[in-house]
Amino acid sequence: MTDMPRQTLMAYPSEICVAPGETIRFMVSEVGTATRYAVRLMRMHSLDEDPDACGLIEEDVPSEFAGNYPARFQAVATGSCIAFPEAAWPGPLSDFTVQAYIWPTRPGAGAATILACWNDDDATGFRLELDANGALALRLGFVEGGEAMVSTKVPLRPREWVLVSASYEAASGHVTVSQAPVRPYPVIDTAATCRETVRGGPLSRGPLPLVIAAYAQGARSDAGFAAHFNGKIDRPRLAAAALAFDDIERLAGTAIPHGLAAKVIGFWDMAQDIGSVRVVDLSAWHRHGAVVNLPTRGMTGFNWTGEFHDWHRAPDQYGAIHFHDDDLYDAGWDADFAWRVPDDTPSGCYAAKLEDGNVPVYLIFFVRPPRRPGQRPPIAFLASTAHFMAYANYRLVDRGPLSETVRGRLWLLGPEDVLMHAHPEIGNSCYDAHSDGSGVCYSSRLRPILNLQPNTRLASLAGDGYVLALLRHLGTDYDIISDEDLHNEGLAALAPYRCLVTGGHPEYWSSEMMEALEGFLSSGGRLMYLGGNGFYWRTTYHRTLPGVIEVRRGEDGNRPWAAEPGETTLSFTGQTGGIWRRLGRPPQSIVGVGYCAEGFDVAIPYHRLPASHDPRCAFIFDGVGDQPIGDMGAGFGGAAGQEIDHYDARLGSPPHALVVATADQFTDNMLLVNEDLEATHLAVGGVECPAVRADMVFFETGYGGAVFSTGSISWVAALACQDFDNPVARITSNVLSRFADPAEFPRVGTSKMDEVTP
Amino acid sequence: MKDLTFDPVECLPLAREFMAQPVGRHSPNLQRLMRVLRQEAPIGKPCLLAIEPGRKWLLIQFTGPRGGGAHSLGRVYTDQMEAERDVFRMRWKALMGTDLPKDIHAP
Repeated sequence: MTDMPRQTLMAYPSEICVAPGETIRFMVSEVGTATRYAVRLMRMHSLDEDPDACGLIEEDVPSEFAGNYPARFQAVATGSCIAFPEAAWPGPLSDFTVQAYIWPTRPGAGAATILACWNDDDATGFRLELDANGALALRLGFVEGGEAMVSTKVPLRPREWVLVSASYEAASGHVTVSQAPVRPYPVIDTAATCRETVRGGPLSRGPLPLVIAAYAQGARSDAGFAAHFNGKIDRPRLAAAALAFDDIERLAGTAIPHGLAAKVIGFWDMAQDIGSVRVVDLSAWHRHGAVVNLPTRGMTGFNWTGEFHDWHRAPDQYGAIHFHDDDLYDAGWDADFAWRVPDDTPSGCYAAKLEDGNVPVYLIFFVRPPRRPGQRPPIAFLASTAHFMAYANYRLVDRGPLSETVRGRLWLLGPEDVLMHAHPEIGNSCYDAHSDGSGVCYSSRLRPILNLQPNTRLASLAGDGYVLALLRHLGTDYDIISDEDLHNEGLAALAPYRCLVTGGHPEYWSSEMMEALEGFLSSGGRLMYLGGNGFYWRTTYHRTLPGVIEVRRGEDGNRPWAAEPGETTLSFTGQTGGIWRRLGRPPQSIVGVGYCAEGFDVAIPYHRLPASHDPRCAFIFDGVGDQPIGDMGAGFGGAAGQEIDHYDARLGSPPHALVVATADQFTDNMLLVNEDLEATHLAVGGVECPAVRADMVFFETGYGGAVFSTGSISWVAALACQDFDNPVARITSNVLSRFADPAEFPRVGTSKMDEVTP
Repeated sequence: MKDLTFDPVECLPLAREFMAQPVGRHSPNLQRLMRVLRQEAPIGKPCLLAIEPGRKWLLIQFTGPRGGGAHSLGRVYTDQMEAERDVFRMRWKALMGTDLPKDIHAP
């Protein structure tokens, strides 16, 4: 029997894009049987082995880190919480009250901590938690030894707000544990209060680590965390007294009640500093915390009315944080080797290639041009690193039963999919759901990303490799810049270049990236958008944490999940999340075309339209006849497929744009996107729906530059067929050549081509 | 419950249509049949694992939810369409309760 190919190493680099003179580190762990591995530095000129294309082209590059290394295991600790830099209970713990509003998403799926002051080394302190049955419980660990557990024994229901509280009086041993639903129901009553008397006595002799949504596995908060909470927590409070329930209700307000201030030692307002990792304590102790592993912030609280959908407008209704046991920001592994990028390193796509006799692992990164000003080639390729991060560890296996139906063919997987399924601890993509079913808003690159490798799905890195292969085939000098560069540096990242070339799927754009691109086009820049479904989701990067993006799946768009009502505002920036089309910047207004359909069974060729014979675009079709354009390709057999875009003047496609070719003979698996549907109907398939088509568009920007858009993800995967001797490669090469030429395209105010200096 | 039963005899022309072209334009009735056949739960669903990218695939299935493994179904293909036909036969038998007649095969 044929064995399944196995990958036995996982790894990640510290950077996705690095400049000469800078150092990149590589973190490696074995997963299974690897004991040693060899490392080489490769420059990647293509990223796919399809036999009908150019194959995988990798070039050995000398480096000081090349060699053999022992493989070691490095763990990943998932799960989010709020930790406090110093032991948080101020001294010996005796009387206390702990309370919060909670919205549990997985009650009954194991013990889940709401708030803990707990030293796990000597089992002292307390943990307010949901017990294994999903009922509220208070666990007490006594200085004199022994533990007590007091539970309401009434399981909470998922996704319902409850005010939970517990108090303890050391002298008497009286414990009260209470759960009070915000919205009670008749018949189904989850309200419960349990009063018991336990042995009593102090719960600590000194400070205890305080954690919200987990407990510390030791005497300090940096010892790791356990029993993570899944769901939202709002208004956590802590007092050094056993409070009556009316005081508990008063303490659940937005200000510390008169008369309780001296007793309150934790009064957190989690609606403050939503864009940061900081959690603000309004008590006199200023016991500010920091989120660990990026739980989702800016979430609706127990008192959200629906009146406002933006946490700026009603911060007191956005005091909740949604915690997940599978949140992960930075795996935090130790580096195994590093590379200082030599000053003369050409910009390009590189990889540290790890080999141990099983499936090799490529740690993909990009070398950008030097940060110092200087002469650069006319062409820059934009590495869609925001897209790579949004898709990082895309878990196809977790898609629902309809997934294969939507694709119209069997799932095609690689070894990375099998390994990813077996290792949930490496975190999710923004296409996945957390373990509690809620959508994943954040994605980091500081963890193993198994699908950022050659031979992974063509709608991503592997397809983009064909653009690099064409540039190499043509002998074209180029630089690579990344989405992160564009976001961080704005127009300065593009200013040295005459032409920006995208890959096949530049889907995720921040406002800063959009503004940089618009500035580039307004200053004469040229854009070759060689993809589909581009410029689609607003994304953003964290303001202080490196290497993490946020996406909110807003009120429209082809979405893997939908944000909960009121939760579409980006927590990192406060901007409205969603698709750019609904945010007032349709892709059509920037590149002439915009996303209209997706289907993954077959791809088809384009055919020329009369506008292709306009002298304005003669350069595009130089050497191209009337034959089909792209009737073969590694991306499902054609140049138009997977996700496609069309021209739409209503959405801002420029009226002077030339739709030079179109592909419209799709199957019924190529389906119109839902944002094009006002109301649902059956005529959405590629056979009959006229809006389902990939349009190839050219237009002059009016500032001396121009835009060429192909409107299909499969375009790039068709470039390398027949050793680049095909209409797709010819058209792309023609446009590259013209767009690299300094001769201006017509500016606003010129109406005839012959008025323009060629 | 929705009635998603199919008459195996009435569906034989659809099987012939599928065998002639497993992926691509299909008649409305074959589309409906395929929507049902392809709607297997992800765990246990036959799927193709590339063992030589672009050249050779192994039929596998996942054996458990996130955190679980996968195992080989032992069939290797150099043509994805042959895999489609094989899986169609498996699913046909599961849905219809009878084997697909042997005279219905690839052209």
